[in-house]
Amino acid sequence: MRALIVRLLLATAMASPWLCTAVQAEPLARLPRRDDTVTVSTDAGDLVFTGGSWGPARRLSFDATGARWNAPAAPSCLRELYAVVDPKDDGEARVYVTSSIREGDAHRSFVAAVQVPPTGEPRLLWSRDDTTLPGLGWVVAAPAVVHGAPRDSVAVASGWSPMPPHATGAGQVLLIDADSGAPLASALRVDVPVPGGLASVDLDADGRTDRLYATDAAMRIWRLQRRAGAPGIAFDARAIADLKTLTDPHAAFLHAPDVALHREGASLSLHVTVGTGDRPGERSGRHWLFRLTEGPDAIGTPPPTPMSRVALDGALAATPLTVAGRQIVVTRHGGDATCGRVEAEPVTVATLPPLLPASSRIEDFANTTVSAPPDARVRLVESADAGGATRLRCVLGTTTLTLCPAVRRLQRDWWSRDDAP
Amino acid sequence: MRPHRGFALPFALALVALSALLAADALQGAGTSLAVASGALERQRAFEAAESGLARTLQALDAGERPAPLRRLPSQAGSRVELELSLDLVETLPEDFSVGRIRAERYSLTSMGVVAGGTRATLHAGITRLVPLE
Repeated sequence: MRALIVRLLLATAMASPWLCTAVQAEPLARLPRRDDTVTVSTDAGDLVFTGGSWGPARRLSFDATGARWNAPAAPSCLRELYAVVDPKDDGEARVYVTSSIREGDAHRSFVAAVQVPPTGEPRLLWSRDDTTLPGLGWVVAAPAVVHGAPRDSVAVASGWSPMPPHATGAGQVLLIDADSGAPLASALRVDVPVPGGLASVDLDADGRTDRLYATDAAMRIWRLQRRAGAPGIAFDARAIADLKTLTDPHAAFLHAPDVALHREGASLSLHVTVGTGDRPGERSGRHWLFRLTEGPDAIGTPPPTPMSRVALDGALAATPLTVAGRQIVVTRHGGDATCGRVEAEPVTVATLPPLLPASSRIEDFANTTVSAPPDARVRLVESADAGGATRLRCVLGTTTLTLCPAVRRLQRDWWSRDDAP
Repeated sequence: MRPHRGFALPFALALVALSALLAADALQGAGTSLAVASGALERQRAFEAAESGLARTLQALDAGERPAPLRRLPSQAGSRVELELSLDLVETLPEDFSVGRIRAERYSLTSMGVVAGGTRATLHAGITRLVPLE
């Protein structure tokens, strides 16, 4: 009888992508160095560095005891790892990692920093877990780097419970010192989890992060504006949209918002795009991509803001990507992933506040099925065309997406001529 | 004996003088045309030298290189190209691209072609290079 229960539990665990999965191989960045190029990728819940002059790949694994190099991690039912790469001007790079693991009833989340020096092997700079970072909870998204003033920090959104029901408890956006791993502050504290990723925006190109965008389990979008002149690091948090009435109760914002600057005549605005996925262990009947428009200098309580949406043909599986003004999204249908380009302008459904129920038609959404892991991230890569010019293309896993606009890497914006005898 | 008084000689002399004048004018015109053509050729060579500098810089930028801000390239037959490249702006939030996924580098380039006689042509260009961050 006990064996039957164990077998049933195992079968249940294997059947649910939220209970027993590992993030599959996914390249994150190529770091050119003086003598070689290091490729950073995630593979089966590990962080992998390949191509360096040190020889074989270096693999960083996390288990219940901490981080270990080139040692097989203890068997665990669930291992997830998300990372963001922050290259520096001096040839050094930092990789910030969040990792969540569960072994039986025990679960632990980590935030860690790996230094990739201009030469030589990567090394673990620091590693913290939820015993030293109270409130970290279960992390299911990559951290964001908050640059400058006075030092860099790492922002981690958290609060998802590792055990059902997942959407319980409070959440926060935790700020951690990038050099030491010491907790600094909370940029946002709410009474619901903040499971999705964060978008970090430098509005004036001064090298400092000015703003973060986050979402929470109550289907709100948050603008976290850095407080000018404050000692240390401080953010003002404002909810700029509440989409609960427009979304399925089984849906959640699981991926970081996509933010893109847009020009309409002489005025500039920010397009903030978020999409819905399935809450862990649940299945939503309908998914949407929402776009919010606000000014780059918007502060405080937002004025009525135009918002629009399009219907997705499945749960969003990655952060949307804007390329040359076109929106690229990856959706999931069971085990398959498809990639699509939003073919039409989203339909305006409301002006915030208040939100109105949607009565608009479903817009076109062109899909291309690709062979890629379901948690794949659409990457922008360079490739040469037949004429020898370099173009930017979208890649999902190893598949080049033909639906992504190919953009010339180099453009001659203007030119003039002077002649002298 | 009646003296011979005619106009043939003065006429012939006048004709010779006029022919000489016309010939001199034609020679001067030919010389001017030659100088004009030569100047146009020099300017064209200077322009082509400048254009080659621009093309080589674009090629280097497209290949992901970071060319030196000031360069002097040898060209053909005693001409040369002087290049001045400056990175004016790095946009971390280029229009219509996702934040954090790409940066736009705005360059201004001056390419001056100088030929042996001192004739020069200068091209100014604004260039944008998009660099994926992953």
